[in-house]
Amino acid sequence: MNSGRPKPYNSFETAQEQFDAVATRLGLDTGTRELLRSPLREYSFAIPVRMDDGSVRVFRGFRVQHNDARGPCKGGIRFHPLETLDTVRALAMWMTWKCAVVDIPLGGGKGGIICDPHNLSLAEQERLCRGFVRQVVRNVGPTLDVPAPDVMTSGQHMLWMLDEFEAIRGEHLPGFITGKPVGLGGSLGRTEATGYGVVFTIRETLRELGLRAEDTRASVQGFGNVAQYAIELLMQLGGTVTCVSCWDQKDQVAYSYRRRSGVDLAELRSITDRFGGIDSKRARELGYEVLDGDAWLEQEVEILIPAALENQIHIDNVDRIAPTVRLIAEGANGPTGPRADAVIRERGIFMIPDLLANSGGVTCSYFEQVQSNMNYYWSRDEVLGKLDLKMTSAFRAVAELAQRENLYMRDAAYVIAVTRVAQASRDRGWV
Amino acid sequence: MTQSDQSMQELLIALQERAKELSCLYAVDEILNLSDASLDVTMRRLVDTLPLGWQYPTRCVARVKLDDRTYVSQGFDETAWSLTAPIVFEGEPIGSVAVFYTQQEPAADEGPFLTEERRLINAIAERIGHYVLQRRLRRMRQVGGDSQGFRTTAERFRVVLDFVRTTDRKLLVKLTRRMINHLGWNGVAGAEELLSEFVPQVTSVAGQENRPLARATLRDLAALAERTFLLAEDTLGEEEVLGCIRSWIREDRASFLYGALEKLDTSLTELAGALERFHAMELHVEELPSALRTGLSVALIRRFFSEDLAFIRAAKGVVRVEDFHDLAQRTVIPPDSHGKLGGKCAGLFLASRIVQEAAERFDVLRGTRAPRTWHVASDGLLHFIRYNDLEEVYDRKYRDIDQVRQDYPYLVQLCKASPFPPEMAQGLSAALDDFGENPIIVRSSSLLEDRVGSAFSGKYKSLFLANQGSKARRLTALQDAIAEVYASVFGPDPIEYRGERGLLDVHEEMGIMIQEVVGRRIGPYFLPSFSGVAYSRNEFRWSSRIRREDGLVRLVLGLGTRAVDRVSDDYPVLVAPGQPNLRVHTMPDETLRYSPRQIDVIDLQSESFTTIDIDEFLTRFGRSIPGVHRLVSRIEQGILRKPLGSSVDFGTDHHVVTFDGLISDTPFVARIRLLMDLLAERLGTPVDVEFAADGDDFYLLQCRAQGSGDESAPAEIPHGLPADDIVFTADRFVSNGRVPDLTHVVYVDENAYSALPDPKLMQRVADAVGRLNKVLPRHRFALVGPGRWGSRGDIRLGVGVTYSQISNTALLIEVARQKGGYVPDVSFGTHFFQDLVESGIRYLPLYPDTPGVVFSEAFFRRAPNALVDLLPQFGDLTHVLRVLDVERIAPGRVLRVLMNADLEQAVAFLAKSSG
Repeated sequence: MNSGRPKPYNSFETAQEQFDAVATRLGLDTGTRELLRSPLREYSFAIPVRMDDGSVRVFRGFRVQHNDARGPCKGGIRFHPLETLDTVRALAMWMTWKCAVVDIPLGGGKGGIICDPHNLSLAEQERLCRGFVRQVVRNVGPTLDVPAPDVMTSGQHMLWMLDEFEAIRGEHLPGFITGKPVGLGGSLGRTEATGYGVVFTIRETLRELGLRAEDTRASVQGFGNVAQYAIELLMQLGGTVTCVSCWDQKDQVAYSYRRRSGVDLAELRSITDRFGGIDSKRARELGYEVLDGDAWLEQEVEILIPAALENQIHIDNVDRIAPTVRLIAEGANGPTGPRADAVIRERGIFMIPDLLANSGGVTCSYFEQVQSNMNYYWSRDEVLGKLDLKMTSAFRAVAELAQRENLYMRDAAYVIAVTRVAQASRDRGWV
Repeated sequence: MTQSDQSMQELLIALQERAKELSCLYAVDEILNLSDASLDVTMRRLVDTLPLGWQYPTRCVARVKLDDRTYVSQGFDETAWSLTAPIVFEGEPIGSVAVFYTQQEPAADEGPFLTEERRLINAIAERIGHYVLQRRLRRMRQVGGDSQGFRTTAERFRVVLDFVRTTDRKLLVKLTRRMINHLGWNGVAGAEELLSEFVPQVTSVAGQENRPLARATLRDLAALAERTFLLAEDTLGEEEVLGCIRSWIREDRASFLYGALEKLDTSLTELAGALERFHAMELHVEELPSALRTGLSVALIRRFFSEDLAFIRAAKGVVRVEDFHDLAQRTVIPPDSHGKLGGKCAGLFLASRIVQEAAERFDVLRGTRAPRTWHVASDGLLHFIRYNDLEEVYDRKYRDIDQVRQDYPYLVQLCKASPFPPEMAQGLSAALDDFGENPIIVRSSSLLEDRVGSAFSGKYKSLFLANQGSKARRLTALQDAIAEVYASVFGPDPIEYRGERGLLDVHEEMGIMIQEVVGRRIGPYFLPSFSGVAYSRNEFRWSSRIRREDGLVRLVLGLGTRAVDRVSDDYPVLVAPGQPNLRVHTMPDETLRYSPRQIDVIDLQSESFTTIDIDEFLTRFGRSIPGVHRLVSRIEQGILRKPLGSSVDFGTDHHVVTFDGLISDTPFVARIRLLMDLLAERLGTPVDVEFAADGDDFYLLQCRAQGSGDESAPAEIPHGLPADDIVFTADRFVSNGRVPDLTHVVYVDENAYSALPDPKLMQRVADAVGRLNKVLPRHRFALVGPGRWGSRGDIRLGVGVTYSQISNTALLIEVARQKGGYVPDVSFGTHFFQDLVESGIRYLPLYPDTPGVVFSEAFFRRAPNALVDLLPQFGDLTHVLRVLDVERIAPGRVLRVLMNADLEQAVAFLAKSSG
């Protein structure tokens, strides 16, 4: 087919190429490579659903378990109208590395249903969720594979799935699924986890770089959950945040809000709507400079935290990063484009890659599962304390490897993740 | 009492009603009908009652002489100022009845007495004679055991006919004539003979000879009447005869109203007077013959609302004469007015009648009403202009539009500074007494407005008034508002709009509706619990499962202005009544993002219409909103939950307006669905309806034909277009809508896009589209791309743009190509569906692989690509992203897109540029 044309993008192939590069660097044997570059198990099944009007529609569902050498698989379930098995495979593999880099005893998995929830009533969605569980009930569970919410799925979907699972198994097994609300098996600290996790890695980086938090300034892109809690903890550590940028729904552009002496988080929160949008008029009245959306990137600060969208630092704007910048912590997924990444590496700016920096979320999911399994729930401080321990030691391991092997942090994170999974597979005698 | 007696009694009651203007006749009848009382007691009561019927009752005394007995009222004194009538029994005088004034009174028709009083005393004398007759009959019956109330039929009818003859000879003529006709139509032998007596010389059929017919003269009416009714009784039976007489008498009573209506020069004031008189008669309208009822209704509809035949057809079966009485009671009418009440008023009047009638059959419609409304007749505007010598405004519409625009603010001030004519000011003052201090809204109800094909929605002003404080202050504010609405008739926007639609030469009158604002006081504010607008046809479907007929409702908290108008930075909640469970947003974060953020209210302290932050309002006053637990959901840890019971804690929990409870746990959806179906069916057209609820009742605020808006009218699909000119066609999920003529098309090639080797390149396509959005002419270009515009996550499915990157497009097109035997779903724009709706961007999916559908490869793939000219930095994307400059491809032409949801057809073709 279309031999003259370039091959269409395939996320699974891209994931495999990334893995191959690391495997080559590590000099992995063929068997291990073969095992890790493809999922261990894949389930593809039909889910018949009785629709509200009495008709029956059959949906297609997937669950991919990429690798469970280190523990039960962990990964979300997506509702997507054009879901493909390849996408699910790629995402399952990504979960394996993500769990491994932060050193939690879980493997990687992912699931999906081909559907557009906009075409389904809530009752139909509930029946779809229960139908999904009925098809995979033998292959998932607290000790096998633990789903979570993902694209177009919410805590509500998880509760329906949990209920169906428990009804079939005839027992309470809240550890089957994560993303549950507090009080129904959920964990405290989940809202803060990702933002705090970013700052734990920043704190450790500053230590590496010999900087005191009090002597640093930060500029943050985004003002959602991740950004707000990152700012909160950073300021508690004594740091100063001088610039925050966010989307303005009314004007349909992004603005950066700057106060050189440091923003006041409580003050900004008081003029922020629930979507993370700061009221630009009131911000100006409070004495903030309102700059254009990209201005966050060119601030004279030591720390940049892109915590909004993908591909925000790219080859066209990477040169605007001020010479004062010492480190970048990727709070968002994939905020740095590959060419910009090369420039950053060249300039010697310390990069805390997304795989590591924003893994506070999955770590907290793990804590949720642990608490659910023992049916005993920790206080918020206990959760966040344990998160600190996990993230700190994960960071140390990656940083040490980076130093020892003279690797870029992004590569080091990948290498450590693959190494851990490969080791576990070998120890189990699989390869 | 026998059946005949009962019928007779009914007839007599009807006859007495005929003489109702003689007010005391009721009392007289009551006394005379008490058959148990003795003659003496009856007569003593009678004389004490009689003075009440006269003009000066305190100085009036009465006397009845019957055979040898005399009865007088209290304080009787025989004076010179008297009125007397003989009591006759079987042709012989047996006594008299007389009234006297005890002192001299001003001279009138007969001494100090009125003509009506003469008629009254004659009637009373007659009643007494009849009473004597009845007493004697009763005695005979008791003696002879006769089961009939009257001795003979002749006797019965003589009583009736005598009564009519003495009170109203004209009526007797009418009744006799109609009965003769009735007999004739029923083929009764002898009817023709009667007719020839009634109208002599009827020997040939009228119109067959070339000379005028001789005029007939009526000879002995009484005898003829008696013979006619005896014949009728013989042939038709007594019941039918009595029924006929009753019905004709009622008709006769209503005839003056008909007369007033049919006279072209009857002013609205006179008409209102006639309606008042009609109302005071306390007629049972439903007992009028249906032809008469319809005739009256049609005439009233025509006078008050419209000559439009379609409207009359829809309205005549539903509206009732009494409704117009209520309407006229609440109408401010300038002197000599021949105005109407305007389209908005007509629509609401009719809709609320239809619903009221249906509510008797459908429980779910109970509690649906229209708010208290006053009207100002349309020529109030002319009267206002004349009174203030402002005639120079009339020719404004023919002036240069820039000049109109320039001096419009001056005109507004001029109108506001002009006083109202006293008659109108008085009427408005009465309106304010009726409204009290309830906030009101002043709306235009123009004769042009809301007509099918020309919706002036929003073109004229609607103004909210807090209506607080002293009467004088409130009146000033109301007059100010009306003056401003009047000025808006001559504003640049309506004039321009009319110019575009060829309506400039129409004489513009403007009715005004003053409506109480539905709602209640909450804190310092006044607002309804919720409001919205409902459409019979859903022109913005967000799922392929929603049919057009499933309708659409836009709901907001507080005043409905935010649902009616589109505000680009806020969102009403949308629901399709036919598919209430398929919501636009399925994820809590989407629901939150697209939930209403602000609320429109009337601030009673500052006395102004204002917009406030919804969170702040809910935290402070949420608990005071009736039924608020049905209107909001709690959002917590990423899950939306309806409040469990009716208590909602706004202090600690975070709530978002979803209307989930209203939609799933109340009859709201069933009500609105039935309402819309009913109105569409009865009005013969899909409708849009504005509504509001105050926690107790559900109010209709406006009802008009849907599709009258320029945005959503179905476009006519031309036939026989040259094949070369057609760029694409569509036959699925087409909505109605007028797309501005397009100068550019941005096309993302589906094959080239899906073949891009790197998602970063796909992101680059989105960035390029975003730049084009800024440089291409606003609302003059279409975006055509694969699958799902605005895809997040997996952007292979569609270009991952955000709303701001497409905000200036006029039309968003998603192309669904067949892949491996199946056609993928398109997104229906769901990624920013509500942004599209609120900014009026049209959406259309194309299925190029469907047989019979055109998708011009020559246009999309082979025409020159202007991308590099516009954005040289995106030269690497020319194989994926094509900018088609229509002017360059076909000089002097534009791309015209016509969409017709009724036919489920759309076509885009190269057309001559009209600009």
